[in-house]
Amino acid sequence: MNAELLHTAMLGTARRPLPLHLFSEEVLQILASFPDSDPESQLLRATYCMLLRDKAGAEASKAGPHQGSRPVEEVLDFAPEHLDALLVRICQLPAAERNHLLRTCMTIYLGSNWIIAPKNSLALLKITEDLPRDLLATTLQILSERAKSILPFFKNYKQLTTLHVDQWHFGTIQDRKAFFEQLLLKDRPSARALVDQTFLSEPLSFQRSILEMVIRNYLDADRSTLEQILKTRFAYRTNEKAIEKSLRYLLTARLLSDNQSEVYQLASSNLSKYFVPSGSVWQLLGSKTNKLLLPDAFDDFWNKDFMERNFGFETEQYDIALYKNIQQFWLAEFIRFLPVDFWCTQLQLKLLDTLVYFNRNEAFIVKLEGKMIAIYYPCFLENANFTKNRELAKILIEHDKKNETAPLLHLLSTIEFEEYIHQHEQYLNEDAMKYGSYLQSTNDWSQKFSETILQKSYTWLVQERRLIPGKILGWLLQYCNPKAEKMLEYLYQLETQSVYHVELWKNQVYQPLSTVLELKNNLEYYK
Amino acid sequence: MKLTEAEIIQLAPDAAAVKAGGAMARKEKWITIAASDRVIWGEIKGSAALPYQTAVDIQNTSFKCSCPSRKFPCLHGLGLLLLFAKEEAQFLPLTEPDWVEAWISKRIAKLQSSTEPPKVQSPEALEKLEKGRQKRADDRFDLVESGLLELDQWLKDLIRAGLLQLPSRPPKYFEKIAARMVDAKAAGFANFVRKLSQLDYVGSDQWKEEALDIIAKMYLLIDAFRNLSVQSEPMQLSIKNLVGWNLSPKELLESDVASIDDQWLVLGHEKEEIDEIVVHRHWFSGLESGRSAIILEFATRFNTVQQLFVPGTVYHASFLFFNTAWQQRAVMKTCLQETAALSKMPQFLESIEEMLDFRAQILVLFPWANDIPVLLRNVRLVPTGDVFEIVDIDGYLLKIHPNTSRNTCLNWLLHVDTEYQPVAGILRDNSLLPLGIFVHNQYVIL
Repeated sequence: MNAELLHTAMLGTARRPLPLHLFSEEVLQILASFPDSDPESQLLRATYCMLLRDKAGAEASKAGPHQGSRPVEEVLDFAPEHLDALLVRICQLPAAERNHLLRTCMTIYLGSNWIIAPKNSLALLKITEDLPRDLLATTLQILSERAKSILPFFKNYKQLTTLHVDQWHFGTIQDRKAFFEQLLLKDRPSARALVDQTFLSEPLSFQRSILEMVIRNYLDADRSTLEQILKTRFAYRTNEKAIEKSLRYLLTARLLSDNQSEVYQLASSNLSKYFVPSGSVWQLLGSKTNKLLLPDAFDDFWNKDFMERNFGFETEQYDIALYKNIQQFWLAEFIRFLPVDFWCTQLQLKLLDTLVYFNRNEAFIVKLEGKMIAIYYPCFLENANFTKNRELAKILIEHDKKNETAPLLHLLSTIEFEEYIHQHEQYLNEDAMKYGSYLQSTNDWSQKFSETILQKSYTWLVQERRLIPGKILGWLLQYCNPKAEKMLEYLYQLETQSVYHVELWKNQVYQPLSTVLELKNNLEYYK
Repeated sequence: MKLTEAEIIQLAPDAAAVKAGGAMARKEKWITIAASDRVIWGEIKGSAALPYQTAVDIQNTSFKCSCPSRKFPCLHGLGLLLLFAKEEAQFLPLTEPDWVEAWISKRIAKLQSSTEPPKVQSPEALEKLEKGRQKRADDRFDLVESGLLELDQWLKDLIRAGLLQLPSRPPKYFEKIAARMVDAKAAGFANFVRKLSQLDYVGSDQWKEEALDIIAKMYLLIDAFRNLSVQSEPMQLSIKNLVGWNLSPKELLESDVASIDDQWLVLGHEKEEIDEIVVHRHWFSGLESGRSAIILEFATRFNTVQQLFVPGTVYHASFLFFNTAWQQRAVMKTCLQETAALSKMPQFLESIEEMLDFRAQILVLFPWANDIPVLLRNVRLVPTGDVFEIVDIDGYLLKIHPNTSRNTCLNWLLHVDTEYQPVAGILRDNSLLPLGIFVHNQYVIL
């Protein structure tokens, strides 16, 4: 558009005269055919003449050099169109119903080395910003090369696709953390090499982040790296910072649980000196069991300097109401982290008897607020979780009378977990159900368990007229077994009086679950 | 024609309806489902005491349901049609029940009545009718003229004071004159004023050219209306339509205008809500004639659209075109067949330069032309930063229209199998609004 004309229009004809000298002969002729016109009409007429002329005479612009949309060669085979269609439908579900199904569906793609046809990929790409990290990583594996080529348009994919060491060297703290976490998952040896090379030059807070990531996903192969870091970076110093001591504690905790580590050897060789054969009467009866003689006074092992220097254990502040002396407190730390087998071996007892020894031993029981408390019981609970000891967890759960072992339920198999929930009638208890191992797997609940949860939920909502707990509803939509479809239909057909609650059941459970189960049944075909 | 699942999804009013409809597309959900050769129907349990009755005209794609949903088509209609697409064998061939028969017969009667010749009336009655019509036309003409006098003054005041004051004007400033235009039965001008008020006055200086463009077009239309009597008949019709006179499909169907028989490919569909009226625009391309066409459908809260055209479908039909300066708007007179496959490829423009020449020819016919359907043979989509452009084989480029969703462009990129591809779109505001691409001789909706 003519700049002078635009300028006049912007300022107004009252302030700026019409630039008639700029108009072409043709435009002036048109304006002349309206002899009585005012400057405003002249400006508007001149504008539409010139706009039309510009538009009708417009020339195409020449493009610069471009990287365009070119065909890409695919290496893997495309999945059947029907499976792609199921994936697209799954992507359109709300997140609460979607992710478990998506995980199952992606497993099928991975198992068959299939990729999604590019034309069906957009539905998956559109939801990536809401996907959990594991699904995001899997998504990349089942995308075609063509689909990968448009990844730069999706913000959260940039980190995953550009796994480049430059991110480690020049990225922000967040970039570096993301890079390292991916590297740990994809290429453990390279991750370890990177730690070996650069760890010492990192700031303390970032060192903590790295260690937390490694320790969270600890493998035996990481042992030497952690031991090296413990010796070089977090060896005891008189003027060390609190965070350095806490990181030594973090490292030794993990290494204590590894019976091949030097820290474990140090602890076990010293601790074993304090086990002595149990009383003479028992020996006379042929028993070869031992007992732990915990000293009351400091000695070469049980002293503040040794504990702080080698394990980063607290040496001043501990709960004096719970522990009679600091040695008992340090023992609690060892019980938390050492493999429970160590105690069994030293005491010459089976696992259950070892637990009895520690939890029924008068020396380890205190009276607090009128209650008798076994001081090492919580340590065994923590130990089961920390060392992921399923056998220990099972025994603790089996003998639990106070519902304290729910956090260990994730260590049980699906069958054991369902049995526990059944025995304790915890079907609609979010606090128990949230620890189920199913949350980390692609498996569904068993048919019987699914049907029972459906029945209980129906009774709860429609008959007792109470709302189904939100998380239970979410898990029901995700983990319900497809074979429970008949039960779902049966419950939907039941005659009831409360129209409102039946409508709630229909909207909250029946309709979404029907869709989910139909999709699951369709996916079964590919398993 | 039996629609595919993808085509049915195109008919859904929104994504929520697609999801809800998908959930209904299972046999267990329905108490009964059945079909005849022209309609499918079913009964489904809802929140009311009696089951909802749903029927779908499978010959001329239309829906009926007794549910209270205000969406059209509702989830039940979509669900039933999706189920039919997936599992036709589940539909028992039965005699149509009374409620289905009544609805479908009424529909057919309505469609046929539109093609029947008008009833013969006496000369006196005709003269009376003509007099009444003339009086109403004169009254309206006067009303519009009086409205345009005010608008003319409003525009001049604006130009005298300068357009720089526009960003600081309150919404009421625009609403007042727009309402005046509606009262003066010049709704076309009201739309121009609303566009002016909706410009982005904050983001950049782009609004300056856009505002002057709108104002100049309005003034050209005022001038054109004042000189209406000297215009050709098609131009008169175009100008009046742009001012606010409606084009009557019924009158067109009753007229003796020659129809154009062709295989009409539905290039795309756009929905826009203006003053509680939802305007559905369906763009077509005639595979034989090379002509383009647009069919408009209007829906209100009380009146649903008569027919939805599924993008990507080819209608073997005869179209009647309104006798306007740029003959574009049409109505479907008869339809013999609907197919999903292209029997031949449409006629394409070879380059962006040729497309601009094509637009220049249309602007000569109708200077207000903006939405021009175009088919370009060889272009490729190129991302440039956050925006997209198309580049033709000669290296010329054209911007993608800013209202194009990013997903549309990404979908295009995902369908690329050759370096350059044929594309269909709308040339709007010097940029392209892509509608679909041609892949392996098939038309893919974007």
